[in-house]
Amino acid sequence: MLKVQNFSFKVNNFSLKNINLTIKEGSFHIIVGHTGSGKTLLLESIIGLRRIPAETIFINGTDSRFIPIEKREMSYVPQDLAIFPHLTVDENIRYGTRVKRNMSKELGQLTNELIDLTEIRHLLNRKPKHLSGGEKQRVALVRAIAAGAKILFMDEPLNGLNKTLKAELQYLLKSLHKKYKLTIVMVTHDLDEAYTLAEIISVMSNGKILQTALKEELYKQPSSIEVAKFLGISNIFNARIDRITNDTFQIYSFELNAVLFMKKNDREYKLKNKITIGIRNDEIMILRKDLQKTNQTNIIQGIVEDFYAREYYYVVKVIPKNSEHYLTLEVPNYAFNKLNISKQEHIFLTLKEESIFII
Amino acid sequence: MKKPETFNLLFIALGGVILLFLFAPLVGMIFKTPLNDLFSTAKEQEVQKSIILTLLVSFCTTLIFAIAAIPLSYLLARKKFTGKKLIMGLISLPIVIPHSAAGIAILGFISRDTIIGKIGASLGLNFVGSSFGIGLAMAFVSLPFLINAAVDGFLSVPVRLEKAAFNLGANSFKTFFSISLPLAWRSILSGLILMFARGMSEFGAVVIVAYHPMITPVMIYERFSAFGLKYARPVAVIFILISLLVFIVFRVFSNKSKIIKIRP
Repeated sequence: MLKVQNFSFKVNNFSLKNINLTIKEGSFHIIVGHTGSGKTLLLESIIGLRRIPAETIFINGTDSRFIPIEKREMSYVPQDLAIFPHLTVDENIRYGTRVKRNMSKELGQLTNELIDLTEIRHLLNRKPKHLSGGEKQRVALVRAIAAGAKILFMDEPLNGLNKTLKAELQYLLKSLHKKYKLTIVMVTHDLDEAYTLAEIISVMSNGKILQTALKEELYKQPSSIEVAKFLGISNIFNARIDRITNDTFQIYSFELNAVLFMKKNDREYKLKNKITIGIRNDEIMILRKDLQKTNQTNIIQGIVEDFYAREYYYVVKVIPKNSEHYLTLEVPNYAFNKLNISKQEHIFLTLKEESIFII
Repeated sequence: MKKPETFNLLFIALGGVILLFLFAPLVGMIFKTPLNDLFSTAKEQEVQKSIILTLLVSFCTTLIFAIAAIPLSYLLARKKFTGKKLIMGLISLPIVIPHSAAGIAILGFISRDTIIGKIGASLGLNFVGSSFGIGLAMAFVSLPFLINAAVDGFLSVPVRLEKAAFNLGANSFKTFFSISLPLAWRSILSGLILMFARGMSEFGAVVIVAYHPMITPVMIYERFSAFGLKYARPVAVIFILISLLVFIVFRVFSNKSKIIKIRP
């Protein structure tokens, strides 16, 4: 229903470069990228807030330039929410239906449902300046959906909220998407948020879309080193294919000085092909001392160089035997505490064949 | 702790000098006018008519010209175009040129031998020596106050709110009337009051365009030049008091109506 085709666009010193994107009806599509990657500019271009080149963005097959912004049936929740300060919450929420003179019973019912679902009925007569951050987010969300739009665009709508509120609103967004079969396009810099909410994720960097995929696919198979790094994968190494069987490759990693086995993918490779592999940080496991065996496959022996705590896991840096490169692991807190790891300790690591992928 | 005290004392002293300079002549004039003179002058029909004419013409001029001046201000605040700075400069020109010169310019524009004058005459309107001419002269010198205030008001409305309104389905007119205008209203109202006040106090431009019907500033001048200070002073005091009253009423009204609300 919405297609962005070979879209390049320059604003001051920044440009969007050859963007191709299809937004499927009913999908929850998240564009994720660092600050300044061009996400907001792309969103504003799609919505119609920017003058864009012809034949680049199509809405139901029609060049978007021929559809006035107010007729696009797209609602937008900007980063600062843009709640009208002189109107009450109720007037804000019903603004879309009033200006469009669309007082249909269905839309009225939907608005009422949304008000109850988001628990803002008690705020209806308040002015925006008397609302908290989370309440404002809810009002902006309801206003956008209540306008009767077919696609809802959101620009970092949960930015700046505390964790509890963020989780609540994420749940709310998911339920709204499911209940009303909304098409949602959201941009965020928060990868966790993208994984929590999205069905489809587009990774954006420096004005380019690097990869668009179902979130499971993106997790399994980042298409480039840049995407892999953006996804937080630190373990990227050069390797060589030494053996090919029906469903596995036997590879040798130069940096890790290790022979590893990995699942074959769809692409064609030949023996001795040089490849770049990625190993997901959270899928490398430390073997318990009583289970350590060197005769298993995909076992890497190494020394714990360093570790530090993050919120739910420990980051552990391990130098494999006869190697000068780090392997970075993310070990859940409970496992880390149970393993009782100390620095300079000799440990054994194991990883599944599926945890290694070719970039 | 001594420094701030010295600072405050110095600033209060300097500010006091200015306040004294501003209010002393006015207060002096009011106290120098005997109450009897004040009441007898206030009863004069000529004076009453003149004050009503001044207030009414200035009020109507402000309202009529605002219909076009407010959209112009919006364009100046929102659109980028070649020559914008020049236009902004030209708009403020009446503030800096002598008002007698402004009167001559207006007279040259509306006198009977000009196109405007001829069009007016064919419609039965005589601009020179009429309320219309007074209104035009008042507008010429006072419009910059409204336009500048309204431009500032529209500039203070975040464009993102207008974009949000568009996105919710409002067209340009609805966005202007439901978002831009209400949010810029305080500045616009301030501009309207300033324009009205500036218009009713105008002398230089009006006296050239229309000596008669006589607005109060012209009457004050006429009585001063013909009969002297004693005769002119009561009219001036009455006009100042009425102007002050009107101004206070407008200010109270503008403070109460912080934002106008137009239902989309």
